[in-house]
Amino acid sequence: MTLLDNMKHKLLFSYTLHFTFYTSLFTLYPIYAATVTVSGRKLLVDGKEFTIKGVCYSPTPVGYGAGYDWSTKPDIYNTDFPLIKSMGANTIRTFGPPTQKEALDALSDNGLYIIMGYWVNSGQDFSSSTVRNNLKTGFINMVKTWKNHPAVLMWAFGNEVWPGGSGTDAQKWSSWYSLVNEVAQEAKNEDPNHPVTTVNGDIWTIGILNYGSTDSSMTALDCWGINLYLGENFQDRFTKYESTSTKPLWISEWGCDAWDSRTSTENQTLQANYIKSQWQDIERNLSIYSEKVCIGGTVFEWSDEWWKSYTNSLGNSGHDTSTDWPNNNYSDTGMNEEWWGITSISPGTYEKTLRKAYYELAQLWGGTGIEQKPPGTDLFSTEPRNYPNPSKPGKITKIKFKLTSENAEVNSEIYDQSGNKVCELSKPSKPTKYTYELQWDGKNSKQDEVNSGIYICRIEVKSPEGRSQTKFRKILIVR
Amino acid sequence: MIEKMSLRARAKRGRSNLIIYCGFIMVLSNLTAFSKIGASAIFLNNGIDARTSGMGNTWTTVYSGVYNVYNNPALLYQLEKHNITGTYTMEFSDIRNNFIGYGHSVSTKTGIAFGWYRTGTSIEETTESEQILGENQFIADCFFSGIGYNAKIPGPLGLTLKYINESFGKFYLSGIGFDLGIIPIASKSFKVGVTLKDIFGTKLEGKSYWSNETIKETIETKLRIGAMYFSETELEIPKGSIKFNTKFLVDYEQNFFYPGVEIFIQEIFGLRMGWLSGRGLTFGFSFWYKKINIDYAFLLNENLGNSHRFTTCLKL
Repeated sequence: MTLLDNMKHKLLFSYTLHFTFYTSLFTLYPIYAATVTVSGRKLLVDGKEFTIKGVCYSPTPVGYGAGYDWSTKPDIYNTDFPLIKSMGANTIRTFGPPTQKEALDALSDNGLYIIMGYWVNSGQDFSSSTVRNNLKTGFINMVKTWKNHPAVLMWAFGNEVWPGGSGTDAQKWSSWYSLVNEVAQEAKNEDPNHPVTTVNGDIWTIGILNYGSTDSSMTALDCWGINLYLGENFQDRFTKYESTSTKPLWISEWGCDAWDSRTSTENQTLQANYIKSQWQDIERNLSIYSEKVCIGGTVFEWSDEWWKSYTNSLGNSGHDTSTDWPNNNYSDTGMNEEWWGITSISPGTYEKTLRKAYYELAQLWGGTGIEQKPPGTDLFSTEPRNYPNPSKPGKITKIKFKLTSENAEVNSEIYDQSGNKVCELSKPSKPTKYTYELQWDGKNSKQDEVNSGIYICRIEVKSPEGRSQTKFRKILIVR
Repeated sequence: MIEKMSLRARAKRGRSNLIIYCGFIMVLSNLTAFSKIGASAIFLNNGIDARTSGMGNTWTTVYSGVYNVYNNPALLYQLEKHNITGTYTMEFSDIRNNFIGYGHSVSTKTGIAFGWYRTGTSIEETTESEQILGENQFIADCFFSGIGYNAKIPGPLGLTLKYINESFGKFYLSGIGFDLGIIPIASKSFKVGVTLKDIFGTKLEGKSYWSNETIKETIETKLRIGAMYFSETELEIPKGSIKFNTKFLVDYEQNFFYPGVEIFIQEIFGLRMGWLSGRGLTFGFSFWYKKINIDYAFLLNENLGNSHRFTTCLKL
């Protein structure tokens, strides 16, 4: 073999190796799609319990209307997805499928999943074979197109669909729910790796024999989604649902608009407070904790949509403040369709302005988003939490929190319920740049084990610029 | 002259006895200072009524109606007919303390009272693996029943029986204890009181949060001594006079002094101030209208946040 032959041989070998490597990568791509399953009332991603912490995502810039295809605008999703991720969210919910693979890739790159919605118009006659076939075809095409993408979490068929056509209510609902089940079955035949869900407005049509919406009829549907706007919490819905279905439940829409009709001003605090208490209600009912029903929720919504006012008196370019519908579950009973975003939008830009609700969710979801807060606001980016709580005498409980400053001075003390100081805690450790961790072993300053009761950890933080802030955490000690 | 000398000598001896007596009680108080910070049933250390709270929790010598079932049962004998009362407290860190009680005068020398005190707050339950399980309620209850009797020797004395229960999830601790109170010295302008809480130590028993094991804790005995000096003065004004009733109080327990002062004007409106060891200044006011009494106390706390306490009492 000549030198040239040798070089050709090596080159050929090198080409072959590279071709094999990249081809393998390409063909391996589908293998990276997550396997999402439902087990009992739990949602599992690759076998691990998963809680949906999500946002309804339908970013529509000022001047545009319904059906805007955001997936064709990298400037939009490349701005939004890192913010959504840094809020601590893990999922977006859409009302229709994206058209561009790059948009889904961006989701994956940011560690986010998508509950991919398929829009179904209300008022249709779902007993019509034409209607059924068209909807099935459309939905299954969506599943076929994206089933191997790693960003996919679930398929969602319809949103608050009210069936039309002739016949009794029972006949109309039966037609709808039989269609949902058939669609779900076909989707599962096509893609066994992702659950299928449908989204209802409230729970009232679920589990009704005449409507064909009991578990025994809805055999292919994996879980139910419900949209709820019931004020501070979800009232009796979790309890009622528990006796209605054995499938998991996710709250597909919840939240509060940021326009206060009473004062005719933007009220971010009101919105943030409602969103906080609603998520806390979801959290209390998560199925990952002892026999509860819920697998999480997607807050409505990521950003304001200026086209949605019922009167649309200002068109798509004006931010309408007229009340669109009444809702007595909120202290501000006037609901304003164009103000539901946890971020606001402005003309001529894809940039978002984060509202208080964003930061509130970042705290609740353990996100780092708060680090983007402008100077002069909270030094704490998350509320202090101790693990475990309760703890017991002699056992270490870790008190963790995040700060906006990486070089803050932290002083912490433990007090008993009478207000007497029990001990001072050592300086915190820093597992990450902004995360601080304190430890208390359930002993007083004389190293005696304390008795059962409530203790309060007082954490005082001083930033290098001299700002200070104090937060408290109730720690329960029980034997 | 001899008689005057004798009176002076007796007064001197009386003062000496008083100093020795108080010194003895203070030493005893320190000797019984077994309870450590972070002791059992901490919720019972804060006082339960607005009147004494406004005076820095100087509860040992003050007649506070039904609240003497907690403060010093010896003074329950002063109860008049039927007394119904309630207290609401907004503490720091969203801790809530409430009390309702009823007292009754059995005779001119004997009074009885019953009460229910509850502390509660929500606790966010988390696991070691950093899961958040949601909020759960920590509840601590104490049911009191007490009797006070005005004995000639050794002076008014009283006994309170209490049942304590603390719970959180499957964890609970409960037990029965006794408090003793006595007013060994009571003159027109001076009073000394002694309370011995949790005589012999109150044993609590219950179930562990962590396993099915039985758990035990003890509330250690606490001795408290208090003294009160009080005077009545009248300020002459053109159309009559205004009556002032002033009390200076101090309690002592386990190396801590609790001073307080109260001024009542015309027996209708009262102002109070005190120093609560470990917390700070306290303030309060009181208002009497016919058979209804309303008290308010404000407890400063720079470290944890301020507290507000409201008490209302109805005499029938």
